[in-house]
Amino acid sequence: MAGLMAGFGHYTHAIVRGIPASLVNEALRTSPTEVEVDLSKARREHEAYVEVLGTRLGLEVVELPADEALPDCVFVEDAAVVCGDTALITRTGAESRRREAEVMRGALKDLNLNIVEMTDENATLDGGDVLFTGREFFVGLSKRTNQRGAEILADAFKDYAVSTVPVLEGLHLKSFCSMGGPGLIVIGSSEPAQKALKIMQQMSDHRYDKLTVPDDLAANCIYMNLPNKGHVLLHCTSEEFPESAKVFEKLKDHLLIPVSNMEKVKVDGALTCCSVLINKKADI
Amino acid sequence: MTTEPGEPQEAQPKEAESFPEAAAHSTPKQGGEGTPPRSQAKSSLTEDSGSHLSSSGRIARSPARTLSFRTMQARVTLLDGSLFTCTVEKRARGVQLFEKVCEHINLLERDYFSLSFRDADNNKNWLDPVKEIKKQVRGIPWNFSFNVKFYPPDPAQLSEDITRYFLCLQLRQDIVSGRLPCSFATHTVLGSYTIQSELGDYDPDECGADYVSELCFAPNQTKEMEEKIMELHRTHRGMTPAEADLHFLENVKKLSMYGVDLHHARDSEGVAIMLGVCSSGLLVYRDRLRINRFSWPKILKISYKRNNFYIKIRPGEFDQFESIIGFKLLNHRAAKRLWKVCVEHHSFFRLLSPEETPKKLLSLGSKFRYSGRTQIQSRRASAQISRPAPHFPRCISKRNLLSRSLDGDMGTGLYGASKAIAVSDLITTVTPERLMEERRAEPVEEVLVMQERMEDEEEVEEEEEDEEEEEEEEERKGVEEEKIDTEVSQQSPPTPQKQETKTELTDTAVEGELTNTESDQDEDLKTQDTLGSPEEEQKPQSTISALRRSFLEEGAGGGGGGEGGLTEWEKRLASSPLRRVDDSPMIEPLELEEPKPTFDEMSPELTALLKSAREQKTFREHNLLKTSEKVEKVFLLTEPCDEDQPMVEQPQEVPVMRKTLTYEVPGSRVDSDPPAGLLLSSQTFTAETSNTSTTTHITKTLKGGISETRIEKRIVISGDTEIDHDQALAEALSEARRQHPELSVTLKSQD
Repeated sequence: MAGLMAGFGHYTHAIVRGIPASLVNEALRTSPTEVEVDLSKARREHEAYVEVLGTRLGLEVVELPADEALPDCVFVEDAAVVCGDTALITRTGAESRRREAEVMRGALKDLNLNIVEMTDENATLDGGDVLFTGREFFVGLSKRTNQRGAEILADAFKDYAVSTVPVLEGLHLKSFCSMGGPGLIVIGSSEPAQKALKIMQQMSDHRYDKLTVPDDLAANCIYMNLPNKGHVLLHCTSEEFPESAKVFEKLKDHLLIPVSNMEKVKVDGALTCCSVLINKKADI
Repeated sequence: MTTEPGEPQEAQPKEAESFPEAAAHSTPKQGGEGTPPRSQAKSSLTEDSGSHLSSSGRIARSPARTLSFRTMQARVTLLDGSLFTCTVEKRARGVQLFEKVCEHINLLERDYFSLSFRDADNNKNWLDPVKEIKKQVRGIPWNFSFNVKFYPPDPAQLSEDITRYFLCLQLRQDIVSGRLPCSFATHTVLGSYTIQSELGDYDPDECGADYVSELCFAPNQTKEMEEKIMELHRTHRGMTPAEADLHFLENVKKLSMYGVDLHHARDSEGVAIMLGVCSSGLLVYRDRLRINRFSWPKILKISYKRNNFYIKIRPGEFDQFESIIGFKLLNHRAAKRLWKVCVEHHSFFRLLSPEETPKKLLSLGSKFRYSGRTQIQSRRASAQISRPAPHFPRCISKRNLLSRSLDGDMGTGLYGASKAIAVSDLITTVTPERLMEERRAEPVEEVLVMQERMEDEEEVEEEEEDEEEEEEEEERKGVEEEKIDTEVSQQSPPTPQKQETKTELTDTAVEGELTNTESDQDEDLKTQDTLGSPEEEQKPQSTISALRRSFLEEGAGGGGGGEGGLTEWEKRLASSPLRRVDDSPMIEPLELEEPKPTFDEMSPELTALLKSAREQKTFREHNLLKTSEKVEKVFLLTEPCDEDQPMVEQPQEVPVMRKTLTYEVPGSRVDSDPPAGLLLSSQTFTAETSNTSTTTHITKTLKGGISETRIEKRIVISGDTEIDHDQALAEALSEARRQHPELSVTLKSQD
């Protein structure tokens, strides 16, 4: 055991979930409803996403079945926060999504993770508000996540500092930022995003680099560090965010994989939203 | 967890074992310092071992034993849980006991460690090395703990394995007590290194099925955890104890609460928070969440007044003004403890050297200063260590030894063992201190006054100073209305016509206890640069939420207005210094808004001193004529007597030598001078030796073209009967003469 907290971005497993037809009309959204989701297109997109994780990157993918009663269930990230061998089952901010946790809990248990429940009825937390940098957590206080939820997260992951960041615009903290590598924060260039970044830097004992991209939504990408592949980055396509894609394309050390997200984004789904990544060490 | 701190009662059985060893060390080789004869030491030890409850204080007071009258027995709980007993002179300073302990445990890298004691309210206090022990531990037995005070951020940089070993022992205590929270996985990893360090390789023959259960690793240790620890232990085969310790430390140092000293407080809105002092600055927690952080470079000034603790924050990128943030502590003493810990951590981790250089000229800083070496100095000294690595036993693993040091310390309530984290838990987990205080807080005034009285001499002095400072503040305010050009002291004597508002008002909100400050001139100049209206400046952003808001608001004007056809992004591209012609990505370091520490910040006191020296020189170089020099009267104050010696009712002298130097700029008398004179600068420094405390107050004023430097020295002699006051006074006088050869110092003494 080389040490705790080593190996940021090392993953062996991914949990994903199918898209129910109800997503089209019933999924929660901040965008105007006129923008219609093309279900079959969305499903194709999602298949491609899952294929990248499983086939291309070699993760063991656990695919949970879609549930028509849970229109947002494809966005598994919100239902659980996994770090090391501990999984916190969240109490999502939107009440309609709470039942998403049930199947998630089962899947995480099957992976032998230590399950921590968020039972407090005053607590809410969406995984989309949780940015883990490898050294500490930032939790966005948003429409979906409150102080109490953040406290419970802090208690579940005691090794790490947990700082709160107000999210004034956008749905989640990770609607405008994510990790692009060890110590590298990818951040959107909007004012609220930059302000949030300022707060994060103020709160932190650690030094980070930042990669600013023109589009906030494009700042949501997925970083992994995989054996035989090194730094891997799943990011937006140039069709979707041409300017931001250019920025990513300049990254020299990463294996860059553009992943289309045209449809899910209409219901606030970003790249990180659609999977829960897990590092399951081989049992000693 | 309601386990009591590791008090001697719990350690009693062990004491018998360690006794001979302790006795052997209680009469150190260097008998030259007036250590008592061996027989005497033995006899008091014997008595002590005969009756545990007889307080050493009583022994010392016993009139029959004339020799033990001057010695005390101190008991120090070491990090391995054993008890070290030794005899020290009653008037010994903290450092003397500390050195004895370090010799006993063979420790050379001492600067990270210190002795602590519990006061009557069970609060943990650090024994000040430069002050007499008896003045710090009044009314309580001389029981101490040997502890880590400054947790090195990178333990691998320590020179000796033995130092790392002691650090490990401290951290194991911290973990078991819940002060240093960590996850299950971390408990198992750390536990496995502990086992490897103490027991060596896993040996199926020697190790029983539950050999791990005999040790305590975590606040609530489970069978599952122990099994995991055993599993991991087997993987460490071949690892030496020193390596295991290093692995332990490399992991533990990453924990977010490593080396964070927590203090209960409330923000200005009354919300319960925790303030955490650490190597990098001050952290603010609400419940378990970090809600703010002030790195040392961001903090311009730390101060406390009554039960309030203040920090003055450097203005941010878009802020125009410094802000002062206030926190409420439980009481005056808690505020002072926090302040001291801040001063010490700042000095240790940020400064190149403590403010020791000024000693020779003028004694700088407030009454309390960090007196030890800084981390940088300590590292330098450690590099000189050339002894062969000492052998030392690591066999502490008696049954659950670690659990003895369970320590109901601050923060246990918050970061304690409890798995349940209902809000009510957090609120009702009250440390003894809080209980005491809440009871005490109700009837207010009288009780508090009592308490003040009971406080040690230092604080009594402080009260006096408070008054002085308040007077001074009033003076200053008066002066401020006069409008002052603060550039005066920098360059040539000013022409009084050119006057600007002196914006020093922020200072008056704060008590003058400012080790961590730059000279007043600096701040004045800075605030003048920004040219704010005094009203704004006076409004301190005293709440965290206000500060938070300001973070959110800042920059609102910055990126808003779209200039020309450029998008925000294009502007960013254009202005980025890292923009390159080639296609490299735009990874930029996240600027921490922390200016590189200047020399001023690294040693503000020294800078202040240099500046003051420079100024004095400047006055001379400008051929100012010394027009007058007078030494004013001296008066006497009495000090409360040492409670240990009720016989000695002799009042203590407080001579004040008031030397007034008046300089005159030749031919520069201007009639339009403000009558009250311009206050150019004002500085107060204090130095302490074992029995005197010298407060130097220097004011420079400008009256009608005459620059007047007034140096006022107050020397408090706080010694015992043995002290020859006349001699001490004479010494102080000769010292003053040495320091200011240009002045003639006279002393009028009033009997």
